Amino acid sequence: MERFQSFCRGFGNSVPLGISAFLYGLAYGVLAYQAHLSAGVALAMSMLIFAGASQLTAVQMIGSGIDPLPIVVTVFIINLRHYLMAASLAPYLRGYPRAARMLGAFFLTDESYAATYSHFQTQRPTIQYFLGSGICLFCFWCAATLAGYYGGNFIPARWSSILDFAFVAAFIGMLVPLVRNGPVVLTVVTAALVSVLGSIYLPGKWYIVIAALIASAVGYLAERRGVKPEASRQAACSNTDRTGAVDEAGWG
Amino acid sequence: MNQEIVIIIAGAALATYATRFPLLVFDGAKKLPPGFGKYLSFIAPAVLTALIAPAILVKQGTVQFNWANSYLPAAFLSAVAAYYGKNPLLAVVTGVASVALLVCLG
Repeated sequence: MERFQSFCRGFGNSVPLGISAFLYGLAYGVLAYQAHLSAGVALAMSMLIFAGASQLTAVQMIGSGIDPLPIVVTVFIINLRHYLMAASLAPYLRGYPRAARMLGAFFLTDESYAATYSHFQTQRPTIQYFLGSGICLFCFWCAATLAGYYGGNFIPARWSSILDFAFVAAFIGMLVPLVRNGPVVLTVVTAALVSVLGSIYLPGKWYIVIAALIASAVGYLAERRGVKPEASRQAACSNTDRTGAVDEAGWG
Repeated sequence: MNQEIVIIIAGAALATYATRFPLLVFDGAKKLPPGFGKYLSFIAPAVLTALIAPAILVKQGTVQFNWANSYLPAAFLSAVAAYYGKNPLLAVVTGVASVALLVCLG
């Protein structure tokens, strides 16, 4: 009974985050519709991948040609931040059975991490709370996918070129709050240069992965060399957007 | 087509889960090397930039850095909205509205 209450509390406390994730899910659903995916494929992605930025990216990449390997590698890289979140939650959940933790891990997102971690700072940590939070986000995300997909039917075709920009604008909205200091600015500039050149001269979609790895290294080295040493009191995870993106973009 | 979509979904789902479960499930994995965590903190801005920079700047295989490219001013306005509005959705609305306006005017 107490376990169930804990689950419900986790679920209920995450509803506000679920609503913001819902808005992103709508955008994903619309984009999936525009990329001519079927409703089943759009929903399967949300149910199985369950990561906002990765899904937006995958849909965008599918839209410009299907090549599984670079898509999967890009998704993996986008999601590397989960390692940080899992690492910071692990000590709280150590006592629970492995199967329960395997299940909980599937529902780990930026939002459920934020809700769970802050709750565990003041309350007794339970895996039920973590599951409740994750499943709450999952419900909102899948519902939003379908709502966006079928809502996308009502958007006139001549608007679709204009709406193509929605994806770019959404990512700008996630990116801008992350740009907080010199090393990050350097990372962004490097990523822009490498990705633009790479998209012209490299085959397929590999330029995304290559630009991300090179630019991250540049930012990391710049920070170590002390380019404008900001008081980087960021928690290990504050770099992921807490605003409901993915990531998802972050990103989810 | 369909087979490749299945491969993409399965691959992406496994790749995503592979980043979620190891540190929660294996008790041995306690600590990441501190430098690794720092490096990962740059991944998010790097990936986001790598995704959108070519979409904004490159059209048909060439860099379009001129007034004819309506994505440039729209991206700038989106960034301004994101910076002052503190709300990603405002950036989306601003960006799409800007492109719509530029397309209508152009």
